Amino acid sequence: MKEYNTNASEYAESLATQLRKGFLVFCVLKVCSHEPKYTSDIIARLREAEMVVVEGTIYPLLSRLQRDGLLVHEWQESMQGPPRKYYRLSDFGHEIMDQLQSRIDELNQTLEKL
Amino acid sequence: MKEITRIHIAKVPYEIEVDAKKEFEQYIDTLERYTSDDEVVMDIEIRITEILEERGVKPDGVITKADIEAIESQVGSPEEIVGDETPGQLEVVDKKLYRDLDHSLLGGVISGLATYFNLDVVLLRVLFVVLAVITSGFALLVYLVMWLMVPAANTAVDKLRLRGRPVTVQAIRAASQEDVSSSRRRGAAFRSALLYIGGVSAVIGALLSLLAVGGASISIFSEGILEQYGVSGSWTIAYGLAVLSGLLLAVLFSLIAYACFRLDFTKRLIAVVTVVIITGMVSFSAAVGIGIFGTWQSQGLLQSSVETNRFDLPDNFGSVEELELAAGASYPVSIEYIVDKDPRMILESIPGFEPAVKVVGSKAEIKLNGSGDSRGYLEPVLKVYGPELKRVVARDVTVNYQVKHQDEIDIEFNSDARARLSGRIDNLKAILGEGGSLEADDATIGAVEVIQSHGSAVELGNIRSLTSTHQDACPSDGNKPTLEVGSIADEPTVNGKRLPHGSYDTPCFELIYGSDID
Repeated sequence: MKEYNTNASEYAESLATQLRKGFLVFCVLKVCSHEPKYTSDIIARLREAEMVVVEGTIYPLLSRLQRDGLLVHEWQESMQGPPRKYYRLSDFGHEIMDQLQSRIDELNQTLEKL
Repeated sequence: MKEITRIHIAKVPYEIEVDAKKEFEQYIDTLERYTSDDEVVMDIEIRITEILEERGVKPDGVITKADIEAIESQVGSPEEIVGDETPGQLEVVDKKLYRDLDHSLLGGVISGLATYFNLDVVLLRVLFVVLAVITSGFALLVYLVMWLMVPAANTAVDKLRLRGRPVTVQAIRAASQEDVSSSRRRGAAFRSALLYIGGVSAVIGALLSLLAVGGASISIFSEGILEQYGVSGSWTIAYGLAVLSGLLLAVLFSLIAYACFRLDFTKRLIAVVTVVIITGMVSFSAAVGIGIFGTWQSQGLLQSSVETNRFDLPDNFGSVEELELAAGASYPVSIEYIVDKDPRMILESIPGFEPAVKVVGSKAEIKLNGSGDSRGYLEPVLKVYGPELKRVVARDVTVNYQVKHQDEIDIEFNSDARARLSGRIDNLKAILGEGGSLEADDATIGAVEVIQSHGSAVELGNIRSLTSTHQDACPSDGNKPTLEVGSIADEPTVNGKRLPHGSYDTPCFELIYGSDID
C-alpha cells in the first residue's frame, strides 16, 4: 500500500481493498451469527455475495477471530470425508457484531447526508 | 503420458503428476513458512480436497498440473493469504532460543545455541565434545534434556526470533527463500551414521547381556551354588530376578537397536523402554537385596551353630617338648597355644571339627580334622593349653603362641602357615617356608635367628641381635623375603655378613629397619 499508482483503477482498487478488509470481518461474523457454519459454506456465502476473491485469506482471519474470542469452533461428523470444523459466534462475537452494525449504520447515514 | 506418483492431502490419498506434486509441495511449504499457525495450513489442505472434488478429482484420482494452478488461483498465493494478517507479530524483536534444524547435525541444540548467541557452530560443537568428556557424559544428559525442552524452529517466524531479527513480511519472505538443503543433507547423513553406530552397538550390547546371563547361569548350576546356599529358597528367587534383569537388559538393547534401524522413536516405544528400564532396575536391586539378606541370614545361622567343646589331653602331654600343629583339610584353621599348667583343649567351631592328638615320648602332634558343613565355612579356633615348648612345627595353620617368659623356642613352618608370638622369649629360632609369615612385634625377644624362603615375611619389635639367612638365589618373580624390625642392639648378621645398622635392600632380600609397627 506504500506504492503510489498513477493508474486510477488500480488506485481505487487499493482503497477498496482497505475498505473491504474491515468489512470482511463483519461479513464473516454475520454469516456465522445464525447457525454454526462450515468454512467452505462461509466461503460459498461470501462468494455469492461477491465479497471474496482469494479464498485463502479467510483462514488466517478465522484463526485470528477465534484467538480474539469472537468465534468458537466445534467438530461435526461429515457424510463425505473427515469431521468438519464448524464456526459459530461467541457471546463476545455477537456483542462485537451488534456494535459494528451500529457503526456501519452510522457510516451509511453519513453517506446519505453527503 | 506424464509420470504419476502418490500424495496425501489432508490425509486423503491421490495420484498426482510428478511436476504437479513438486509445485504443490512448494506451495504448502511456503505457506507453512509464512504462517506460524499450523491449523491454517491444515484447514487450507482440507479446503483443497473439496476444490478437487468440485473439479471432479475424487480420492485416489489423478491430480494434474492444471488442477494445482486452478487451486492456487482460487485459494491465493501464500503472500496474499497471510499478507498483512499477522500485524500483531510485525516489527517485534523477541529473541527466543529454538533448536536450529536447518544447520543441525543431531537435534539442532548446539546449532540453535550458536545462532542464538551468534557464535561459530563448529567451535561450539568441539567445546561440547570436550565438555562431555570432562564431565564424563553429564553434558550429554544436558543435551538430551534441552533436545526435549527446547522447541524446534519450524516456521520462518521462529527462525527470525532465534536470530533476534525483527519479524516483518519482508524478513519472512527472505527467510523462506534461504536455501538450506545442503546443510540439511549433511545433518541427515550424520544422523544416519550415528543411528547406524548406535544400532550396531545396541545389537552387540543385547548379545553380550544374553551371553552374561547364560554364562552366569551355567556357572551357577555347574558349581551347585544354588544347592549350597539353598537355605531358604531365597537364593532361587534372587537368581531368578537376576536372570530376569539380565534378560530385560537384552530386551532394552534390542528395542534401542530396533529404534535406531527402523527410525521409529514413537511415544509407545519410549513408554515400553521406560517400563523395561524400571522393571529391570527393580528386579536387579531386588535380586541384590535378597542376595545380601540371604548371605546375612546364612551367616547368622552359621554363627549361631558355633559350639564350644572341651577335650582332654593325654596324661603324658605334660612332658611334651616338641609339638607339630596341622590342619586336616585345606581350609583355614587357627590354633592358639597357651603355656599353662593344666593341659587341655577348647575348640570353638561350627559342628564337624575334631582335634586328633598323638603323643610319642616328648614329641606330640595335634591335627584339627574336619571341613565344616554344607552351609558355609567359619574358621575354627582351637585353644591348646600345655607345657612350655622347645620346638613348634606348623603345617597349614595359623599358630598363636602365648607364653609369659621362656628361654628359647624353635619354630618351623611350611609355606601356608602363619605364626604369632606374644610374651617374653630370650632366644628365638625360626625357619619360614615360602610365603610363610611370622609376627613377633608384640613379643619381647632377645636374640633372633631366622631362615627365610622366598616371599616370606617377618615382623619383629625391638631385639638384641639378629642373624638372618636367606637363599642365595633370588626369586624369579621378585617376591623376595622381607624382614621388618623396630631396632636391633647389635649389628645384624645377614647371610654370614655383618651389616651396619639401617635398612638394607637387594633383589634377594629386604631388611626394613626402624619400622614403627606396634
